[in-house]
Amino acid sequence: MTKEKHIIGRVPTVLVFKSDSDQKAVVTLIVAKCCRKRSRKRLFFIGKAEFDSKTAKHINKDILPLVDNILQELNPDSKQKAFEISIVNLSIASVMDTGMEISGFSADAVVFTALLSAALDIPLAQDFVVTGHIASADGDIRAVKSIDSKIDAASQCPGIRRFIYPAFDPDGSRENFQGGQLEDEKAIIPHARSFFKMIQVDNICQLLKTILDERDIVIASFEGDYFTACRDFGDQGSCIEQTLAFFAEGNEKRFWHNIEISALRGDIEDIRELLCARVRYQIRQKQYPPGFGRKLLRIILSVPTTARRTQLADELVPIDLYFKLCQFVGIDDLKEDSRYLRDIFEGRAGTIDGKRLLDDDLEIREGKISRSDLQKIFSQISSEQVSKKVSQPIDHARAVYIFDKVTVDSTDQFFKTITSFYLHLISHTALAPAEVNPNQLEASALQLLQRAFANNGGENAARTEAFHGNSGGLRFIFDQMTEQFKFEQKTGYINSILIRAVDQESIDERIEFTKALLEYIEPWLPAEYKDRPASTLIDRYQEIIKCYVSSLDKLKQTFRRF
Amino acid sequence: MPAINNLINELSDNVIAREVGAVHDNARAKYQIECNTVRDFPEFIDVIADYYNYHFQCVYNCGPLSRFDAEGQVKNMVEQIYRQNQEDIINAFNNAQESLDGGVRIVLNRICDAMKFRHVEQYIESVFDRYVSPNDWDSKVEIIREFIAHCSSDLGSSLRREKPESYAGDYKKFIRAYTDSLKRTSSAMRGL
Repeated sequence: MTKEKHIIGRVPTVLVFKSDSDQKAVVTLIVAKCCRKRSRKRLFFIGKAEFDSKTAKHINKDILPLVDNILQELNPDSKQKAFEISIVNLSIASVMDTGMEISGFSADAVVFTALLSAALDIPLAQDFVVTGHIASADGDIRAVKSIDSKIDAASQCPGIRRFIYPAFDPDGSRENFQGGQLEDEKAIIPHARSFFKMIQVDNICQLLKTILDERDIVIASFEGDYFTACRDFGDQGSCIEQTLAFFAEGNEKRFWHNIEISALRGDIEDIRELLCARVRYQIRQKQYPPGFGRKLLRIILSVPTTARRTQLADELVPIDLYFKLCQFVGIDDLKEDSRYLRDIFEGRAGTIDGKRLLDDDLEIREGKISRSDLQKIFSQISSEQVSKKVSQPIDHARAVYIFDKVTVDSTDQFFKTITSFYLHLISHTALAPAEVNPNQLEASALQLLQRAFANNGGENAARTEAFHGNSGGLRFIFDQMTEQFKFEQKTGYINSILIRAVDQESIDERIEFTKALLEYIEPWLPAEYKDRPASTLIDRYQEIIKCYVSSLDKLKQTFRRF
Repeated sequence: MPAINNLINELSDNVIAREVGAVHDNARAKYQIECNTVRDFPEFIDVIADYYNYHFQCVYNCGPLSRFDAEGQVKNMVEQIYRQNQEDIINAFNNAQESLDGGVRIVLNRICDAMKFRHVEQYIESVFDRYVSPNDWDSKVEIIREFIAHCSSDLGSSLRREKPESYAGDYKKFIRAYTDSLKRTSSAMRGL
């Protein structure tokens, strides 16, 4: 997967030109650049292709304030910016030594995107075209005409893979006046899907979510000093509030996600850029981020050994930045954390051992659930909840884990690889213990592997598979480990809920609870449990739960057949 | 008979895994998805078409397929894969949407495995083509007889029961049966 070029302030679009008898659409680009403010005027339209005066006025009056609003809310200290806007002239116009004039509202969305990209320094992919009218000061996007001609033109352009267009009739007004035409336009969409992804948007927040890269948003949030949202963006009922929340909230999560993705890809330059930007931001904020070293170490140790050894053994962040950041380390715990950071920044992550690797802030289940609310307990162990709480995070973890080669060259590499994968798996589940020693980690990884292959030739069969790759190599091994891990975590999850529910209850109450439980999971239980009195099963929850989890999996497979 | 030894060697599990399987497995191992679920059917089609196109380029070292081709081919493939379990593309979509059975990653795994087995079949056919002279009936019968004798333990009972002459006229039938037996062995291992 090669990275595609992202460019600041440059947005592809499709414009429609009308002649006496016909109309033609062409793909072109709108380019916005921040420039020094020379007068009260803030928008400068340059180049031979220009907007007509009505459109230019509309951009000044409606689009620019929308951009200003977002910038001001994200960073109240930011100053108003001035912009140069140009439209890439078409070759037909340039060979005739002439320019062209653009009118109408369909370039609103594209001009808005270009201005915001330039203002926030967020680069944009170049594989999409966007069209749409920004119809309110809150950023609602409304329909534009000639979608069919635009699709036709974009389909001729080989680099275009996404076509972003406004909803046809979100307020129902066209249905009343243009019913026939509306149906014709809608009918084009299935056909257009054979050329590119067709993405419909109703407002600027949806538009930005579609086109902006999460990594670029994080980098921009460092530069723009809004990485950590300290402001309340309202109830997020309006498009603007949703947009502000999109930019300013969840950046911590975005940052770690991108570090992990880049580490798995072995993209050292990307990791460097993200880390340096983060460290500079923290220095400006005069704050050491708690747990930074441990989180980073955990990610680096969980990437496949080949990528880690070859890519991550270099300097990641200049040491002078590290020392500047360390001025803000305070309490002892942070001092230990900052020592990991130094090892990582200097490319020595692989040498760290015997340390605390996992978050203390992971969810640790404590406290007792009231047994009186049986329905609540049962809803927590329903197949949907178990899937949501346990299976889906584990499946997600497996889905994002990439590696270069499905075979290994040595036993040492095999053990390191399965340990890294195991660490990755447990890092994505809230059921992980608070402390892990790397030696214990390797032992736990091996035990999981052994359990996963218990009925399939054991550890030796797994190792042979990793060397020869006859059935998919590491792909197969990781899948088996994932399934085993999922099964165990599901069992553990349900067990913990039930134990909390009945802990410290009297025998009679436990029998009552067991009766209710057996009744609830009766459809999934094997016959041998169905007729037994609840009193004989009160200490055998684990057994019952294993049957329940296995039955859920079997049931799923059965349903898949219908 | 060195020819049969070479043929058997080229069709051994390890060689097939190295020459064909690894390319597909490595391609799948390197493909990262940002999200393991999809919101709707068009997004599902986008995800599987993108993967199919990526896998195709990776394995065959060629340029991208057109969106139309990628979408059409992958839809057919997913239909075929799921039909083996009396399912269809909607079951694949439901899994990708609700992630009750591994989500998008399992759907992509199945596409990868289908492409791998198709490629294995082509590989076996090309090996046979090199060793079996198309206009020499006796040598065709002989080599198939030898192959069945050498690999009897790996072959399904139906393959062992048939006379070599019955495959000599159209040994592609034999190849398909052999690939299926390999597939069954592999599925059995995965299913254990």
